[in-house]
Amino acid sequence: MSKSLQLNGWIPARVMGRDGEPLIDWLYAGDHPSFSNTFEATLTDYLQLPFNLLFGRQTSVADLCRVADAEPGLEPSGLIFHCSRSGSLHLNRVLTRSNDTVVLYEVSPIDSLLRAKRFNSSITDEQRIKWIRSLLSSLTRSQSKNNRLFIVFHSWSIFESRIIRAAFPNARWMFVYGDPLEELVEQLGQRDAHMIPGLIDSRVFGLDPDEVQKMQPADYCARVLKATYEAALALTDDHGLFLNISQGQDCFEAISTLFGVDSTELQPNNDSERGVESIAIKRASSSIHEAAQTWVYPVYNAIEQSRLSRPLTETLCL
Amino acid sequence: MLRSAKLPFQFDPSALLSDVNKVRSSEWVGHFNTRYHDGGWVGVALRSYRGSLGDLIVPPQAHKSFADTELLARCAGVQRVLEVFQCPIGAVRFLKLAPGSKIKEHRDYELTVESGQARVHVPVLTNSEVDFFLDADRMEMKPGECWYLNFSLPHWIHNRGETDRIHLVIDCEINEWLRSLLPFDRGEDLPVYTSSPREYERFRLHVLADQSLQSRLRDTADSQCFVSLILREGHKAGFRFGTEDVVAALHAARQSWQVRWID
Repeated sequence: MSKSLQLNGWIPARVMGRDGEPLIDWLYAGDHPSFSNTFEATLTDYLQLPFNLLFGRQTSVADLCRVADAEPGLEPSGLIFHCSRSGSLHLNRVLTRSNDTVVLYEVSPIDSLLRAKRFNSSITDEQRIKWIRSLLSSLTRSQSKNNRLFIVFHSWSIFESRIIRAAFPNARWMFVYGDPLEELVEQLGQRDAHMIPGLIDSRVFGLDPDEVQKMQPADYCARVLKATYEAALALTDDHGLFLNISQGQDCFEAISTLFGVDSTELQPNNDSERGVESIAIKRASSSIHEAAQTWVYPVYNAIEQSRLSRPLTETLCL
Repeated sequence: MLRSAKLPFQFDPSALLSDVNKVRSSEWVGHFNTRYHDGGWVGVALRSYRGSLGDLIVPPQAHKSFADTELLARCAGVQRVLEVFQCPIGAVRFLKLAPGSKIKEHRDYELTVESGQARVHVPVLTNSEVDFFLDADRMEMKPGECWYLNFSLPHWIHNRGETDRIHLVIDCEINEWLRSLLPFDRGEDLPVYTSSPREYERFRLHVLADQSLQSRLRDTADSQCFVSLILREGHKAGFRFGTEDVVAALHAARQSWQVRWID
């Protein structure tokens, strides 16, 4: 890192690949960066400043690691995987109610680094582990050291859970999901990136790109969802739990048991938010029903079985 | 357009400070414009729209109905300052910004000599860590000096120091007397250069290497002001590029940030 490179007050905001190397774009966020409810909204906020548009910095990933080593940030307490848009947003809302928590929701540069092998197959697991640790560390280096950090990953990051868990071995994990039919209806109404063929390489989900071309939308989404549940089912250790948001499961209890956050701080002032209401199922067409039954329900049932076989308090090695 | 002007008066800051000390702590009230500050901006009126010392609001075009507050009778230093002003006077206030507090960037469109109004500042207590930015310029105003600033330009203040920053703020109506004190012919206009992407790129690298220049450019949120700020700083440092270079660079950057992550 050249001596003139001062990054106090700057946060890593984007990863771009050039000649097979990840480059980090930084935005100026001041002495006390604040994070909006999603990382996307945080970027939008900081890009309101014309200064960031014209004088944003770009560094190597090695510089990112040097910044993090020189001034470490927070170590995450909780890693939240999900395959439910509404469920993850709900959990995000709940967690941010506590005063001493920082929740980073779908941090796009982490996703970019996790999937960096796509543009350079020689990138090693050790490099990716070091990079995502450094990225989180430098993002949170100005936060109070008493704060607890929670990361809500993009839903497809569950396919990199091995790397993520290796990067943060002491953090607890949670997999938030809901009824497959509800999720399919919601996604087919307004799709996230992973549900649009071609936006995220379909091989991530174990699907042949040529075959994907011929699939009906409901089938594609159902098979992505199936792969996501399967990846979650592989998380079998005692450091985390499954949370079914659409079964009326008490998410406050789960959060406080798993992460040790005082559940009274998390309760809303009214009762309108207890779990996600099921409004979607009524809108499901027969092709969606069929896709859900064919592809997703078998693995969903397996997850449910795993969840129900272990009551919350027995799930964890506390 | 007149950006700012130092008026030819030097008042006694110690007399004004002793006036400030006569304000009871319960008499300071929070500035009404809470959108612009973080709670550390308070004031007290010596002359106000309704004659009440807690009334900091200045309604536009209401000079005739201003009245002295009971505080003015206690403040001999301020009285001597006001005697100097041979023009109609509206609101007169002490405004105090606590250490660490910030008034966010904003504009007060009506407060210009061109529209017949002048807000005059007399610093009473300040410190070297007060950043008072009028557009691109960090204003250095010393206790007892008297300044007209064009507040229709974006301005923001951050008291980074450890002591209060207190100004006596006097709203004046422009008349022949006040006009004669203002240097209209010295209004600064930007030189106009034609487009030169190469010169602009040289300036960009110049900014990246200059921390203090960066800190002057960071806080402006208004795109239009930002462009004129960049032009002024660029030209001051000897780089000859045009408005369109800056606008094009902003446009290209917005396009580039449409892509938020690699896939």
